[in-house]
Amino acid sequence: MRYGPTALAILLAGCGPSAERFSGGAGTVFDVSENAFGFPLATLEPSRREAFFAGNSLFRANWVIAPASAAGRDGLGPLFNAASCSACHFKDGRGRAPEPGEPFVGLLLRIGARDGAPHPVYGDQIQTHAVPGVPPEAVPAVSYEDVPGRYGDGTPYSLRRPVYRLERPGYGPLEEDGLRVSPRLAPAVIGMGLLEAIPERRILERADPGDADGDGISGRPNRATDLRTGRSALGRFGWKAGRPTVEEQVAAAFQGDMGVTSPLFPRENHTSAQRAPAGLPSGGEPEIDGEKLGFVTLYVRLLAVPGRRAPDDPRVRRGRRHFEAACASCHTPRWETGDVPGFPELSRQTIFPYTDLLLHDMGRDLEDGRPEFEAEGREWRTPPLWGIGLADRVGGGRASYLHDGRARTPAEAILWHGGEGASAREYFRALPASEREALLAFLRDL
Amino acid sequence: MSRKTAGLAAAAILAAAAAWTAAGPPRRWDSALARPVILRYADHLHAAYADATDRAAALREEIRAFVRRPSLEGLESCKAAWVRARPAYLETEIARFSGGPIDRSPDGPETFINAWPVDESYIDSVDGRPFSGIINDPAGFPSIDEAALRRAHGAGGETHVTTGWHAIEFLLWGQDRSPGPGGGARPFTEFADRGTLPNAPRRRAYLELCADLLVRDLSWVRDQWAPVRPGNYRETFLSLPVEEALSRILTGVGTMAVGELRGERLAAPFTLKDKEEEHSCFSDTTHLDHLHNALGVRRVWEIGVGELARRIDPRLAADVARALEDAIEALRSPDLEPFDQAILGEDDRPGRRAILRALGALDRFNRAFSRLADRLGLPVTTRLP
Repeated sequence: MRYGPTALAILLAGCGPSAERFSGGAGTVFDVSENAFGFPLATLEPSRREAFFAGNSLFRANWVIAPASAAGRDGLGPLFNAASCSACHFKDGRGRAPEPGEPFVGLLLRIGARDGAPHPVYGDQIQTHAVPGVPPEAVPAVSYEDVPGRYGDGTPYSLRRPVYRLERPGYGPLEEDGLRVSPRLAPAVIGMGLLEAIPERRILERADPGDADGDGISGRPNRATDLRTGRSALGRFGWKAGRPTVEEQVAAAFQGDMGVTSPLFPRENHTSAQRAPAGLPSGGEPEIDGEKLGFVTLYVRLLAVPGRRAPDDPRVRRGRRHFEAACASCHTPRWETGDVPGFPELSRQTIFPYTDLLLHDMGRDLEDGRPEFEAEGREWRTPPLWGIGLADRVGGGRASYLHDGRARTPAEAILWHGGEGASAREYFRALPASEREALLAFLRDL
Repeated sequence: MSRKTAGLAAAAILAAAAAWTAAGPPRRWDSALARPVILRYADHLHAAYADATDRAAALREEIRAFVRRPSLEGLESCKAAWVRARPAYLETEIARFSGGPIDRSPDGPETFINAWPVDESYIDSVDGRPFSGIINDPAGFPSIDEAALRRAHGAGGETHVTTGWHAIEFLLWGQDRSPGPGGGARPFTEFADRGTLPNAPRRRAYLELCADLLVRDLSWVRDQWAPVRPGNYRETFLSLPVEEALSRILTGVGTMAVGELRGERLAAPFTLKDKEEEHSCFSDTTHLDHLHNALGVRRVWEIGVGELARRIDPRLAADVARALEDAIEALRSPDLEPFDQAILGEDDRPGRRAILRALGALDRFNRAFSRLADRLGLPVTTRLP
């Protein structure tokens, strides 16, 4: 069951724009510098200060090749995409898509067969770096094709469609028939604990897998096995909602992206068919221990969301009305978090993340053809939009958008919406320039 | 607050509502009291950046002499000049986080001056990787020049640091390979032709360029605070509404003392007990970094913020001052040298006890300082609640 537009309007009417100033609940921070994503929740429990800053330090730290004098952080590789979390999540913000000829930093490539099965030799992700003596899996390259279009008023625009190549494969044939490549841009890591705290049943209430209400929007939950409990759980994190908890998302990134094993993922990220990486020194078993993984997880859970700057600005308010009309059925504005035992700063907060955490068919143009648990090739999880107005500032003026960063601006991201998002795209395309600008001003205020 | 301005100011205005409701309406105070304090702060920062620039220039002179004729004495003189120069810069760090020239977006040079942590292997060879780094990559970096280093800075992530204090420190001291006390021990012969490492001319050029850029970046910040320079930051700053200028001052001081010093520089290493947590790990002078950060806070208090606070609420002002003095006293403890050893072991060891004293004092500072900001009716975020 999902709320129709009328119900939504009533829902929103209860809290005017001013109430939305606190995007991330009581712990919202008000900083608009390039450090805007780096603050703990303003309500952080004092007893957690040390752990938060320990996590902050490990998030920035470069992991090194084992064995090393820095025994606390060795175990990088043998295969890896980056040596630190912050390499891709620069200042806790999002990655940027590479320009042609640039190395891939902050954008990684998942691979697999059409049925989602990993490649028998290369596994499920292309690691672009390796320790000395070990070949990297491949050197990815991107080029972009221009895709011209016009707004309803005739104003032309130009989008770019990425085309990926995997050059210099290190372990034999790679780009065989049927190999699917799924690019994934590093997202900003703010507000993750709050998203984790939304009760599962509330999210499921909004799901409409068969589009029973006939509004053209399905909204399907992804499900995965929670590695801690062994039980099936709602997937919330990642571009296809493949991970149910922040801890798992963090540990999966340590393993898949940095080659650092942890209690949750005790195996290295290469397959048994890759002989060169096997048999190298390990940085311990596991390479990041439970305590340190806990610090990083806590850090990511408690990073605050920046507040709105000018929700009462007339243009921003106009943009908000367009957003409600066209976008809010998937980018759900408002949620209440549940009770998180031991974490009052995450519990019972009214938050404005602008996501339903569900999967939606986004059309052929965005299809990767590679399923992930319940998610099909055209399905992507609605990404949260909070903080999106500061993405450029945090990212040094060069943020990119969508799962592969093909969109250079939020407007381009809207124009790529297809499938269930097509009606929102058409709504935006048909607006007069001043109203398009109002919608974008609203997004910039998030 | 009567008018909206860009950047931090806008955030400050928004946060004001929260501060006012949390603490009730601020006690009435005469903003004319603050004008002279704001002016003295601007003068102080100009002098502090001038001092930092001069000392960096002295370091550059030593480095120039050394790269012309590498010698053991020359390298030791460079290291001594680095240690002499660094405190002056650390005492200016209270001006970060406040929309000032040092770290304002997009042209603030802070990242080029003091980025940390440093991935040493991005700059030069390290243990087990004899050909790593820009210095050993003539194909990728045919010329070691300003444009190349600025472009490569941060290119592959936050730790891809090419310039600044810690890059120079790494080049002078070398990697800290010792399991126990002691920093790096780079022999001067790594800079000498037919010496002990390849690419010595490039290593010399890199070191000298870093020293040049440090002086250039610091003098740019100094000039932004210089009197009578139309269009510079000082002019903007002095024309801000009193409440806003004061709020910037307090935000910088509070964030430096609490978020940076207490959080990132003391609490993280204390919790992780990892040598790699040391900021100035090559030279083993991290204890001085902490002390001079705290002394920088005291300087701002002394030039008038303290006096202003006493007029508003003498008891709170005394609490702030006492907490700050306690923190400084704890940070002066000889048990904190070297810092990478002080963080090890159980909490009853002298080093860890001293850090705990400093953490506690800075917590008291944070509480009193935040209450004081509330009393002034000023929105101030210190990065810690």
